[in-house]
Amino acid sequence: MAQSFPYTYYRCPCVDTSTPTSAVAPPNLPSDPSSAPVEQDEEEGHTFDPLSPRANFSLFPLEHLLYCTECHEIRCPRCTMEEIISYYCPNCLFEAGSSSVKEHGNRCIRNCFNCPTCTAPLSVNAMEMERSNGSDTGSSASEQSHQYFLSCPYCNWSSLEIDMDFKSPQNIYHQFTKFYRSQPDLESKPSQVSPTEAMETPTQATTPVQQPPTPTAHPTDQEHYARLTAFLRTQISDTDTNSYNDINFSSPSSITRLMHLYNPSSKKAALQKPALMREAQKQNEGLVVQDLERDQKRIQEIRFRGWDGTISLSQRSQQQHPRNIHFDTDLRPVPTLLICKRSKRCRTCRSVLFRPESKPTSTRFKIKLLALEKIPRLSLRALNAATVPAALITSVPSSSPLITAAQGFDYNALKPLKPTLFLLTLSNPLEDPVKVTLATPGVSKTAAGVESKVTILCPQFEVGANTDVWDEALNPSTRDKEREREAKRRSALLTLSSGSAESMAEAQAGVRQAEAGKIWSSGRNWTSVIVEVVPNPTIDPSAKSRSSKGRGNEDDDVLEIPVFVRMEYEADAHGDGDARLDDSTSSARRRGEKEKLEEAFWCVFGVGRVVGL
Amino acid sequence: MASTPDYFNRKISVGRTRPPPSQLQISGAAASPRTPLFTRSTSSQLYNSPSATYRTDEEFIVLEVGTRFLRAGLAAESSPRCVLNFGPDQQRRVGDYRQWMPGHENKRRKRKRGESWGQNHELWRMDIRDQDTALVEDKLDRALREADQKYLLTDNRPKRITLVVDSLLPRPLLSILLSNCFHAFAAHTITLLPTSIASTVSSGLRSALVVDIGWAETSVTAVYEYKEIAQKRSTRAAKWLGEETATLLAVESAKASGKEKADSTDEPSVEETEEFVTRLCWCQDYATAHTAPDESKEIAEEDFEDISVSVPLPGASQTLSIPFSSLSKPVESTFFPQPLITPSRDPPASADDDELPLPLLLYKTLLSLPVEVRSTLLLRIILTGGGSHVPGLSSRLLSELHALIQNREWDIVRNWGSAAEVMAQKAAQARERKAAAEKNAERDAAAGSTGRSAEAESGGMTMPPTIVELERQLERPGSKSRPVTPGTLRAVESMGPWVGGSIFANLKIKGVVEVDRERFLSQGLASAGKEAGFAGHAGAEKVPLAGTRASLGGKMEGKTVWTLGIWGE
Ligand SMILES: [Zn+2]
Ligand SMILES: [Zn+2]
Ligand SMILES: [Zn+2]
Ligand SMILES: [Zn+2]
Repeated sequence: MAQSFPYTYYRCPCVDTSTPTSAVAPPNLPSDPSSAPVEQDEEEGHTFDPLSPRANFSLFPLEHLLYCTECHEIRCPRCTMEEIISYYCPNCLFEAGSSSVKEHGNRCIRNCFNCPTCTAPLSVNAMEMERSNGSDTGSSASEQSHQYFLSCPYCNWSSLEIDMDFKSPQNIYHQFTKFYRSQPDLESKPSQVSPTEAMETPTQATTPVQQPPTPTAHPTDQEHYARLTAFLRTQISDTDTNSYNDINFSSPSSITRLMHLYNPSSKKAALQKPALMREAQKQNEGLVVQDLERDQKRIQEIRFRGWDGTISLSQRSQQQHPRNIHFDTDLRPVPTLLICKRSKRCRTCRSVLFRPESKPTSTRFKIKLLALEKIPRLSLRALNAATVPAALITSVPSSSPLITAAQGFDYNALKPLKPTLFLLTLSNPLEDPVKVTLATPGVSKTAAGVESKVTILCPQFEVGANTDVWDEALNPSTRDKEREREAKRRSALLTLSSGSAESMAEAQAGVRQAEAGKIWSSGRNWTSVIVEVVPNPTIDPSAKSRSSKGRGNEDDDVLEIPVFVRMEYEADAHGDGDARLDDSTSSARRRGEKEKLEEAFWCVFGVGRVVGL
Repeated sequence: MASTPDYFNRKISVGRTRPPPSQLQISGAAASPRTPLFTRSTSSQLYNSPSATYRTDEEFIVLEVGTRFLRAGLAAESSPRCVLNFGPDQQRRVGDYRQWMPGHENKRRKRKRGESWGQNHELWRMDIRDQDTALVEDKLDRALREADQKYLLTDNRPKRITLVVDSLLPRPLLSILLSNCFHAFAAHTITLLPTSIASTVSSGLRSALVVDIGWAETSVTAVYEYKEIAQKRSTRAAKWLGEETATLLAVESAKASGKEKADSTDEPSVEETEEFVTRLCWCQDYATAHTAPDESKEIAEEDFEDISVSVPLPGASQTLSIPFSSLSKPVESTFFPQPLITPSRDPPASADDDELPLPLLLYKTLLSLPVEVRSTLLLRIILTGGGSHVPGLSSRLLSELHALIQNREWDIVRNWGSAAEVMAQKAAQARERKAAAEKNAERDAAAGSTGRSAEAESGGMTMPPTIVELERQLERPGSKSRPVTPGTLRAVESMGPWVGGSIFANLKIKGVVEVDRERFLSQGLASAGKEAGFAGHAGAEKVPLAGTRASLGGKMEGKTVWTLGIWGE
């Protein structure tokens, strides 16, 4: 698991409201009931199923979410719009202009390349030349001549393996692009072959047609493309330029018309008529007859070079021109992809949620409305392994079986039929106290169909405001509250520990009774409640029919608990996010202009893996 | 444009059979210039240098969306900027970085029960029943955003999209595709271009027999003057090849660990299988495939002496060693199945109509064409699609087709007769049995004989009655035969559908099917003009979108009518 247990995901509700298709007027889809989505609508009452394949697209770690203070809603990458502020190379941090970005396909045009075999950045190395290059360059032999090549510090790939070296350590990209640009016959206008003689005489399939030997045997991709577009372009420009609306170059009677076209005397006439195009007929026009010999050679090469001589799918996908490549000798260094700094806007109200400073080296932000600052952070810990506040630990007798029995809790081994207690802690980032209601479906399933009973012992509670620590210390009223809470917590603990001092089974029963409706502990802006999880090895029969019963798949045994969180709070009436930043906010708050606000969302706790079936 | 082309009006029935050629009036169409598919737009800056042909205020995006991959790039470039897949790693949650963890590729993911092989790697299925279209949308949305944010880096200039997509894409999926493209790129217009025509464009031809060996299906499309005039499909495609390959690898793996039978630990993952197919699979040539095993042993040159190739699959416990000749077996059984004959078994499996072997698929498509079109297309065969890159496949296909033509000529009366139904029924069971039989054969081979004899047993070296011969048996006695026209065949290289779309957009060629943003978003596909369904219905008043810029500006929406062209059902 990429995220180690336990983890929390938050669900952005935009999937239900702002999917592209839902923006389209309804009558576009035939109302075929069988093709209707499984989850019809997920209103608050409906259960959100984290196992559904769609869930993966709407769940995010809290750090990845933004919050729109206009719409009062979570915003995920899907319901934000991005605008590019600047382009830069992640390797050399050079900022690129947007025109250069377009022209060079979004690649670094300095010296940054990635290794074609392992994608690590390549370094430019110099190689002393043994022989003097003086006669070539016309300079004196005393001038030290170097050759440069790219090499990978990680896997030792070197551009020398594909006979690629450079004259200068500067402007490697420029030299690189020149390396493969060899289109000798492009400059010359495609020859005007008369259509009748252009058709090559094909032979039998068993002795397939070969292209007559040409100086460039098999065109590279770029050559092929360049020739064909050049040809088509001349075809278009040779035909009419005025009456394009009528141009119909797809007529089969093109041959006669084409004859007219190439006959200067009838050129004018051709201009009046719809002009016609013919198809490419020669290699320098972009027609490449398949070289079947080449295919057979390739088979021999595969046989000869085996697995290691061929390139992998991921290497292929890195290549800029992945067509027609098969062997490691076909690999080319990959100019580094540029990345962007972007600002993000709310898709609904268009207000800016996120704007970084444009300098590549800067990590600062002008605007940053993180969900972290608006949405309570929920976390789950096994009761013993939880980061129990130090005060709490001292207050619990060390002999308590609840603490000792589960030291070093293993989230990857939840035992079936054994009740496990977890601490669900909710911490409030807001400057107002919130009332929280939690709801859970009661039964959670793993993908393999193992059901677990989930009980939140205290589903309704309050969480204190995220006031300044000093504020709290100085304000007597909060201090009183705190003291009161502390007392409550102690009494709860006492009940719990006294209950668990008896036999284990009774202890659990005792815990449930003792804790029902009571919070476990709380602090300035956080509250913890207890969640009891009992994995039950009875496999839900419907799991089979849902075809989600796999055979030892990677996440089949993961237990995830969906929890619906609803919070209510009173904020000051003009409670914009921006206003909050003002110093006046607190005073406005004290003036008592309050507004009732509500926030509701699903989140999913990854509890652990259920074992021992 | 004097009249509406057939292209607009042709109705594609749900059952995916094309109307007979006579209805398409090909010969008639051929005589008159009436195909406005490729008319140029009115931009005055058409003929400048390649990258300068754009109006600087517009951005031209080219997308090709298939079952497995999204290819995205900008017009006038020779390769797409990115090829993104829809595999399981693309369906992970944000913040789930396990695919980057060392050793991830060594873990084998098992297929979920009820899922077909590789299904978790597909964006959609052509059969939209039981398909969660919202999930399709989720996947598509994520892929489009990644393409834009990582590779295209589009800014806020107005955008046009050329969307290259299968012409048989069901309308609900098309609708989803369009709405997501509009959503992701804020484009004002989307031009739809059928895959087969895009492949034709990128080959330099205007007419071609496009053999697209895709993931779920192989389609053979006759394109004549940039029009699709006939199409046949077979499920013998890359997915099938993958399954056959996975079986081969599982058997080899079991063999290597000394087991009798392959179990689930031997089964390679889809990723491993694909890796293997792209790296090592090859296709026998015609002569080798049709030689009896004994002979082939004799003629086997030293050059072809069977060597073992080591196959280090990332998820396998050990490196497999597979005879090179075996590496061609999956291709053989997928695309060129030869009925196995074993006394204890039923009559050999024959292909039902969805499972035609490739040579037969080509042949039947050609057979449905008028003579003059057919002879044009024989010289213009294009192989594209993910499955077409297997070395040796194209020459083999041409040779098989050639043999078929020599054998059967162009006899249109020949048909499958009533036996076809019986065979269709049996085909499904037979396919399973065949797979089992192959496993047996390979196990036998594993028991003691060399790789070559394994090839002989399952690779179709014996000469059972071929499908051709079977068909001949079914032939009606009274059928006429025409004079033999010796088949001359030629394969032409295409740079693929995406490049076709790039060229198409670069040259400012206007497509027939242009979808305007505002109209689509307000009315969906329902705003498409009711396609005429049958020829003759659509008059000249329907045409404007093909030839004028009227539909581009967004001012004249009220007047113009757009149609879904061949996507309209
Ligand atoms: Zn969202
Ligand atoms: Zn750089
Ligand atoms: Zn490297
Ligand atoms: Zn908003």
